[in-house]
Amino acid sequence: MKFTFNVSPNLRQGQSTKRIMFELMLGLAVVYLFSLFYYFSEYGASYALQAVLLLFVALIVALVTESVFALVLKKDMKQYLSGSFGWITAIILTMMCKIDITPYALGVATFFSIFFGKLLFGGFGNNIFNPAAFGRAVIFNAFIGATTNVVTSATPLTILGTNFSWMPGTEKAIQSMMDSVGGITTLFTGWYPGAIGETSALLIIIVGIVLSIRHVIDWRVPTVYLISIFVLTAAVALLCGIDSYNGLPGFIWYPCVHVLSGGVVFGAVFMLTDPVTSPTSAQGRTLFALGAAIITVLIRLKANMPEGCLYSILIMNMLTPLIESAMDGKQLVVRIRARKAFAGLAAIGLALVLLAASVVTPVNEDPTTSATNETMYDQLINNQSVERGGSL
Amino acid sequence: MDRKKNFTAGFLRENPVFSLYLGCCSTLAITTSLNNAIGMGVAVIAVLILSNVLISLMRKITPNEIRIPVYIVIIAALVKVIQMLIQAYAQSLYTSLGTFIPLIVVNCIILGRAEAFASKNGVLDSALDGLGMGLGYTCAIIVMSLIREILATGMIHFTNPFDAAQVLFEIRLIPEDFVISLFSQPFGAFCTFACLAAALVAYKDHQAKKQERLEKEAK
Repeated sequence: MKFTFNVSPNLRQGQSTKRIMFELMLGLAVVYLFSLFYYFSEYGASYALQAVLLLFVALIVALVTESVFALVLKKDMKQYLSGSFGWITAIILTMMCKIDITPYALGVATFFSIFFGKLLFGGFGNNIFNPAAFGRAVIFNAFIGATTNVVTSATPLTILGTNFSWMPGTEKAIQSMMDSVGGITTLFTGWYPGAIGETSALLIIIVGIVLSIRHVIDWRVPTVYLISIFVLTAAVALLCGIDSYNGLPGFIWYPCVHVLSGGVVFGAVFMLTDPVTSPTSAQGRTLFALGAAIITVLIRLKANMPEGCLYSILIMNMLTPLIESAMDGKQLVVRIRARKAFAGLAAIGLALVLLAASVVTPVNEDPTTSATNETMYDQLINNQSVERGGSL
Repeated sequence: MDRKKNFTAGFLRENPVFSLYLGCCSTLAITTSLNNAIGMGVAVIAVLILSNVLISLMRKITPNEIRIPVYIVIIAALVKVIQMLIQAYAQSLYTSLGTFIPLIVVNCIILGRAEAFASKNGVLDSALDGLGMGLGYTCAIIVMSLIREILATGMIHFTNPFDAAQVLFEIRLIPEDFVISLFSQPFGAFCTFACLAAALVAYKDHQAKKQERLEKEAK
């Protein structure tokens, strides 16, 4: 009997990795085009051109890095490039950045994500971390202040994370918070400044559904991830007694804001589903998504950065081998074990999130109008850490 | 001839940092600036030579069973002397190196050379070995700190260690807009370290293959 050994993703049916990646690229292109349209109609042609330039730089850097690596290793370049899918990383990375990032910063981050994040681990299929998330983390840590004069207003994520600590205490604060982010409908359609590709929750969800039907991505991961975030934040809203807004009770609108803002939907559809860095079994993937959801909410509520989606992905990438080995064995035994693990993890996560939420001080005043907070707001805007609010 | 070979071993073939992977802790931590690297290098060279000489002198009277404690006591005493000297004469270096000066005691290079070389060889040989290894360590951390400093701040900056206000030279190589501050963080340290170690392994591999080919041709 002959065994074949391949690195993941291992596929059944009539699919090939190439076809999957091609369809994923089409999905990304749809979201990207929407974003171009938004910047074109809202800010003018120069902004759209800037977005195109960023994508172009990332693609060129990715291809050059991989070609040079293939040359040094004396491999067949064409075959190596077509099997390495560096352009997917480049596209995802570009779409996770805010439009005011310098092309230089994006280029360096792309190099890091391709070279250190992927090629040094052994190329496509052997990388531990999602290369695009790795590149975004490089930008977080190295180029916080590297912005061009292409300016957009503060993103909802920045406002929510920095001014309101994700925790408005009074009705007035809620009203001002929702006014400054533009309401739930705006968050849903994505007509607001943010990272290039991750604003439109509606479009990303549609693309995600199409991709799931075509078996390009696993529907379980985004579904479990988004529902878990919804449930966890709903529990937080109930515990902290967050008031209703426009007639919607707190445990409905508050989770909606959590799910729709920032890079959560984008990360759920395009990054957590990465077949290389997520577990292979269905049970493993549900656990993976649940863990990521818990970490996202925890980072949002308690850490000193506004968004947690990116680091939750990276942390869960690290735990993937652990999940794989835990979900290995006889099928029936594994199924029971997976249920127990899921219930246990959910209980622990809920307890942790509620504990974290109980120690966050709610913002009772309206930070955008009151005089003392005005200066604080300005300071925060000037503070470089605000730039982190851009995306994921 | 043999003496010369022993002396030069520390630079590439048996470079303590990139080839033997000794003393990584201080290497990763203090290579953020050229000043730190040179100060640390000089301190390590001094301790290494003195400890090698002392241990070599005492090798005949040291009972084998308690040799490690004896080495540690000698090294710790020397490090304390060096630490006090640095504190007295180079205050700014003392503050920027911080806890890593006392930690020279547990730097594996020093104990490693005492155990592997000084306890078996004569005084002069041991002193030379200490100097060679110390210079190898210093070269390694200087190269690393240069790379990290240039990438993270865009310039090479060196001040007089005895007077922090006196800047000896300062050149800007990369414009301020293009620096990668990541390299002053731990990630940058690991990244640089791994790349340099890999480069050295590749070089040694290449040399070994060349040697092999030459030997084959000679046959």
